[in-house]
Amino acid sequence: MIVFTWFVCGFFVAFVAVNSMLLCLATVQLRRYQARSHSSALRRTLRSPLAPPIAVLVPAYNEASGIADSVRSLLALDYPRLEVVVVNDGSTDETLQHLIDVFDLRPVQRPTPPFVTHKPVRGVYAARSQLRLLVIDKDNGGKADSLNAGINFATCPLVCSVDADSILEQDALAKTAMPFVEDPERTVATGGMVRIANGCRIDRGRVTEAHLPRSALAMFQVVEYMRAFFGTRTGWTALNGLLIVSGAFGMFRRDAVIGVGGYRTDTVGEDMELVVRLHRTFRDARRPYRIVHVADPVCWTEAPESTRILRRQRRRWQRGSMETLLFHWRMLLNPRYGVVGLLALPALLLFEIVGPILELSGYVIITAGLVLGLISPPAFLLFLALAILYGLVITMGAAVLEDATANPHPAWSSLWRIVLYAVGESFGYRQLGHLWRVEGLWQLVRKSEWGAMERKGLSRPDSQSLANPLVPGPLVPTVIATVTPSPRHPVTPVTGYLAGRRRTPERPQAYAGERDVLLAPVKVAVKETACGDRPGKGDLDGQDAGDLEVFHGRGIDPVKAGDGLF
Amino acid sequence: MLQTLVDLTACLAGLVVLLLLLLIAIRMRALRRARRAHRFRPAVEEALGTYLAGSGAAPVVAGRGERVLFLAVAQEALSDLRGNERDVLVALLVRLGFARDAMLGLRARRTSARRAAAETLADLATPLAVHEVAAALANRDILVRTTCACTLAAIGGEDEVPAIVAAAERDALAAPGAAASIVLALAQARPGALAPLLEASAPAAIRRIAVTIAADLRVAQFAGLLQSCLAGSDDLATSSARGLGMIGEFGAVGALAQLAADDTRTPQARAAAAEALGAIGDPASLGLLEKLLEVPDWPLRAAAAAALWRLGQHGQAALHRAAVAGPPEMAALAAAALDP
Repeated sequence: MIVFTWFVCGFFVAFVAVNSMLLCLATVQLRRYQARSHSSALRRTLRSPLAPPIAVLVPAYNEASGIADSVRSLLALDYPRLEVVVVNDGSTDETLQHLIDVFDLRPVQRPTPPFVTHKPVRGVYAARSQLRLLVIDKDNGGKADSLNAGINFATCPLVCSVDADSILEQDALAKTAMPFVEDPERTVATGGMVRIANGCRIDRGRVTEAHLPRSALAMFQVVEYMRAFFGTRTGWTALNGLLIVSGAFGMFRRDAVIGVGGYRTDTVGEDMELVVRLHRTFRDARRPYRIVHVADPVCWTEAPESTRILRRQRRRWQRGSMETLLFHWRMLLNPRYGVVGLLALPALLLFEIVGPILELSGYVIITAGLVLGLISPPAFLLFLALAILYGLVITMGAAVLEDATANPHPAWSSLWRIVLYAVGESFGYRQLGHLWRVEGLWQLVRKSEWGAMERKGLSRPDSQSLANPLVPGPLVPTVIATVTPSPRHPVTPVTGYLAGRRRTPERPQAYAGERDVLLAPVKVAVKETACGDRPGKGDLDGQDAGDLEVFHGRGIDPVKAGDGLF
Repeated sequence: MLQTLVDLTACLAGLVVLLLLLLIAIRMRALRRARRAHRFRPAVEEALGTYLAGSGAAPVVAGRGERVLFLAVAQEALSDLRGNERDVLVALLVRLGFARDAMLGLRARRTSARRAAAETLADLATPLAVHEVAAALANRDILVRTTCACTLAAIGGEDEVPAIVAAAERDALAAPGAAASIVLALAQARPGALAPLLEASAPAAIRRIAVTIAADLRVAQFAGLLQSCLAGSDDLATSSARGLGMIGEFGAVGALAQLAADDTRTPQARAAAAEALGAIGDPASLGLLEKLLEVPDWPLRAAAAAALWRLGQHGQAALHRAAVAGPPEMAALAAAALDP
């Protein structure tokens, strides 16, 4: 018991020291970043021929209904030298055909470059027009394999990996490329801020109104993301010890990635593993380099709103972290690797791998100690209060940094909600998260679900496709909604939308209205309108049997699937 | 022990309250700004718009908050305006004292104030500020220096060029991006000023930046200097070859062919030379490019294949031959090049 108590105390002190240090460093780093981001000289360079060309790599697996909009929105990003490389990872739906039809693609002969290995390529397609779009069709091999294919075929010196179901802000590429402009020789990777899109209003592949999610689970994740991106990652950037660039939005120097052999396909944490390998390679070669987290450029992604999906995601993340540590255990506490070996990786091991086990076992031991009278209740309560308060300090610190930088949720109500959830996460959510992490470790030990993840490709149910929230299933013509006018959203009454939606056992009902925003572009045909007129603009765009790009949920009554089928 | 825990808890609770107050203060400030903008901005925009259209009197700006908002709106407008309208707006801002304030701001103690002043002067780009901007090249803050050097490149005369180049050289190693911004601004304002930076006597870091800029801006008058860079380091040679290709410098074909054939150079440099040969389109390169199709390095082979296609009829005939009769890898590349 005494040993355990001392270990816990030591852990707590180390945790406080590292996180406080990171928060302080993040403050300094953000101040520097803000000053540089306002520099007109650097902004002008990004608009000049000196702007480094960027290939946006979009791995896609069964994204038929959303891929066209994702690609359209990427092609429209505000960056002067851009190409989009979509890698169809052996989709079993019409992803490829949809791309061919929408962008008028034609097959072109392109031998596969030999830089990094990946599954065989079936075909390459390019636009007949001047669109800078290349589509690679290849055998299914998972996200990492698809990114490797994209890296091979890309012709730009910078590659940016983007999930097909994520949304980039208009200037996100320019802001993420800024460190490459500032220091082209040393910068090898940059990552942007990932925000949660649940609850936001999305119009034609753009977030037009940022709101906090309604779901409690998503709110807890908002607090987590804020702490991770503004506190931890920004802090590690200041030390050049950043261990992860988010897979949803990360930019890399192509030659550096090719130099280290591309993404590993035998891990579920390929994004973290690549970054750690870059650290290792550059430090081994004693070459100056830097890996930067940029706090401002935003990529919106949808967070899981069910515990089942969140649990799977967290287990996968934990396995990814542990695998990375196992692959690179020689770097641990090795002075050759500087801050990465001596600080970042030990912190990962201690706080991310050991921490959850320690905390969960602590609950058991402390409860036993309380019952047996070995720990006094006041001491227990004080220690608990200390832990909760320290968590709050870190979260509030990150919130201050977010507010001082760029806060998309400036309303007072969002502040109170964030504070409320920051307090609330210590009572249940945190423990649940730790439990899932321990499960992830256990999975790793047992090697369970190992190959299954690889074969499933990119649109695993837990990836929560933003463009198509319904996972693949039979295409069923379904009436999705009856629109009625509301004071906030006056529309011409319209009934009977025939929509091609994909239904699954989990979601037998295809409907709008569950969330604030229906995120999927949906094939919609207007069956009839009450006054034979066009529906109100803003509520329905692109009707007349076209794509309904955004379908705002307010004023829409959910109806049962199958009602009013033609 | 218990007392220590109590003290620590109290400290942390205090810290939480402090952070909460800080958050509230930041939000209140942001909301106040937003409210002010919401209240005054439409009127400021309208006043500026009517003034620029010539149908309104010059706007009157009173009060610090209003001045800040007016300047912000004007700076946004300046980034969009060109020609006469821009001149009218700059004249108005000078008349209203914004240029004077910014010139004074360059000497402020606070770094953020100096940076804001430098940005304002960069937007105004008024020759009235030449002396103050030139003096700010010695500022200890790199962002102020960079912004002022770029501004000076736009508004200064020949006399200021050495100071601008010196500013670029000063930061070339520590902040290559900032140095590149300065050289770019200089090249855009007066391309001739790039010449000394392309000479072999220029510092290596600044020369590399200058070569990249001369290549990207396709400044044909520097074709000769770019050609001389082909003999330099591989990085330099790569950028120069790319530039010569983009310019279409016929006189550089021999030097480019030499670089493309030189197997002691990096594949990147050789590939850039091959691409440049294709871009220039001299049929004399045909034999060399055909030979390069057979080298083991993939990027070089791919560059040679693409260059052959650009050579036109003869190059495409060579590609056809390679696609039909060449080894599989070469055939695949040749076939791909024939289908650009």
